[in-house]
Amino acid sequence: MGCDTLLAYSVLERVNVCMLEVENLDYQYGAHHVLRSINFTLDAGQLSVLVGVNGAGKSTLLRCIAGWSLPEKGLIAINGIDAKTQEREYREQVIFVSDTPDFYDELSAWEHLQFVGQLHRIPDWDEVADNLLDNFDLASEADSLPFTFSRGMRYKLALCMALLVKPSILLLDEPFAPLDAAARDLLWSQLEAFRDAGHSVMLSAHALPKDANPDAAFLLRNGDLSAIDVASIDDLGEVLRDVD
Amino acid sequence: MWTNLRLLLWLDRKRIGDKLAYWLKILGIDDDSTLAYQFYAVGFYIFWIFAMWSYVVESAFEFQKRLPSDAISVSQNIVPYFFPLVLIVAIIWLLRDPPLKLSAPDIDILATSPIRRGSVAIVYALRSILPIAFLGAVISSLYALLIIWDLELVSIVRLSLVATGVSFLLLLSIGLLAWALAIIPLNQWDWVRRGGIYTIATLILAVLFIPAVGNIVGALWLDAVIGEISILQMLLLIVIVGGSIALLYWSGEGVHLSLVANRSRTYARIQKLGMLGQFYARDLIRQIRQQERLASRRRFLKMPRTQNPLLTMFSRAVLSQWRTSGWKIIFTPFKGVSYAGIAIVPFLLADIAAWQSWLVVIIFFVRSRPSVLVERFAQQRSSAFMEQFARGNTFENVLANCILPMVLVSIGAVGFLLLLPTSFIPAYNRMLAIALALACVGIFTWAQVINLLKNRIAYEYTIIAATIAVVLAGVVTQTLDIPLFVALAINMVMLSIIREGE
Repeated sequence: MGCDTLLAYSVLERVNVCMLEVENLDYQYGAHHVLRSINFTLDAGQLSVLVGVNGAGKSTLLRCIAGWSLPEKGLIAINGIDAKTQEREYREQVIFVSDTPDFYDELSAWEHLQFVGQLHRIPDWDEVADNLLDNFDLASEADSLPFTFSRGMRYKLALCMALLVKPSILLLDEPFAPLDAAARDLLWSQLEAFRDAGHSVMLSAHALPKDANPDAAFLLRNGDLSAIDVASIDDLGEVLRDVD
Repeated sequence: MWTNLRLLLWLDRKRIGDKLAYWLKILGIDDDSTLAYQFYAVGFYIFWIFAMWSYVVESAFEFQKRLPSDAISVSQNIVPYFFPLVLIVAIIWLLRDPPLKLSAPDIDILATSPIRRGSVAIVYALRSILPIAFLGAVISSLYALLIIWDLELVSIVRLSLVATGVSFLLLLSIGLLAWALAIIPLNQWDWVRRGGIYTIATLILAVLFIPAVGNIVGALWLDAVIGEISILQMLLLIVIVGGSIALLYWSGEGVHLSLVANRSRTYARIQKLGMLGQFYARDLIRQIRQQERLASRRRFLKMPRTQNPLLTMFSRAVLSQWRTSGWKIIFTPFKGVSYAGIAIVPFLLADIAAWQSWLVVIIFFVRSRPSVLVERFAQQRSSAFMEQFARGNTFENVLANCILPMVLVSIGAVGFLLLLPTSFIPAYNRMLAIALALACVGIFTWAQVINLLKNRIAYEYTIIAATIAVVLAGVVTQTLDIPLFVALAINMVMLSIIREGE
């Protein structure tokens, strides 16, 4: 499958540069077929949403794309880099924020950002980190240890770390679930800015913030993936409620 | 008070019942077993306990016969000080962390209810003290048997039962008293909290420096054992038990349950795992306790500002190790000392040619694998989220996380061998021995790393195969340089596997 075969419908007029390719992806838990011959592509600068009921396989699909789980068969590539044969290079392209990210118990929130910033040789990482903590309302907790945080705060810190690195593709597993309303709106605007800078985002969700318009949406049901025509839908939130 | 006590005891009976059912199931007695089988099983265990107890008593008698003739009478002069000593140790031990802890359901239900706090303190204290007091009483009855062995059988039975009962009551009182004092820091009144410290200090000083106070309880026990307990002493025993209960109730009544709930979070998290969970999830329990320590401590040292990823990773590993357990860093060189010792001491006691030397080496090497060397790398690997930020060369990753403990182990090993007198072992052999020890440490470390990288190399088999190869080379050639060469070759193979990455 090539990038010209677009299963998702782009809302905005953008130059379609294929970022992520997933071809014939199969994944099984024992005898249970979780993902069945999944095919889709994601363009650079595209913000897409993955929907489906609990247990549909959203997290599994995201984990496979992130390289955390190895699929039974199929091809996954980012910018033409194959996940199987060029794993190290592949992993450099993607960051996945799972629904319950783990941190080092001994490092403070700020030290986590310092660790990530220095590891990736990000110029002026401290300024960017400061801004991110400010934006996500974590500045006052910069010196606290993450295991003392609430689930929402932990997710915010994980988002700050991921946004600091600016990967080609950012994968988020149910990012809105642990966040308060203000943080949900803020995250969406941050993701839009991230998308506008040419990066791709794929997130799983059961609900989106008000007025959120993703560029593409996919429905995962019984292991099969299908594209939702976001251009022809006025209210994606209603579709998500119907899916659930 | 009595209604509250009855309610709490009923709750505890249910809990103990559940635990008992679990242990009985392990012993082969199920709820759904037939009555006949239950009778058979109970009878069998009663017989078993009786047989074991007879064996213990017989052993105590045999032990007594081997003792010097005046040993028992000398020990009788010391025994009276045993009970006050137990009291002081119990108070200091319990004061480290007030013993009143609530489980998660207790925090939600008991702590928010208007239940009498004194009743809670008494029931929770009894729960933790009774098993220890019972065990202590059994042990002291054994000691009593040594004193009264010469008497008639009826007197022995009577006095050993008295000794058990008196010991039980005294140990129970000590426990209750220690609890009453140890929960004072949980009191809602500031003046009680402050006054409590002076009371405890005065009590300890009195027990330590006024012989009559320290001696009175011990003398009571000794008099009971030899059958000379007076009415006054029996009254004193009743006063001690009653007073301890009253003091604990009073102390418990002042307890602020919100304060207790706050201090019980870690305990509640561990209790939630259940009995089997606590056995199997030891890593999780260690992490919970470590988080509690980290949250309460001030943090020293910072990660240096650098644009060098390797240095960043290295400093993260050192900082994590330092904050988790600074002592581990300080003691890591001693690991090196023990490895160097393993490599060299058997050859001092025997010689390189002796297969026994190599047997000792193989047993020690396999038994004392250095997990500290890969602790930080394992921590990094255990979090998939953090792992994805640690990009780049796997080999650099491994080095950054393992280099500090490896250097410390090497320092320890070199230091040990430098300090050995040259007359013990020639300088050349000494260098070979240290190199061999460090090469073996390398094998253990790389085997763990490869296992963590999920290359599906069974860790134990790798270690055993590598050690056998090294030792076989030593036994066959009766030298140190050939096994060193083998160990280095194994190291090279393992490093090349790591270099290939995941």
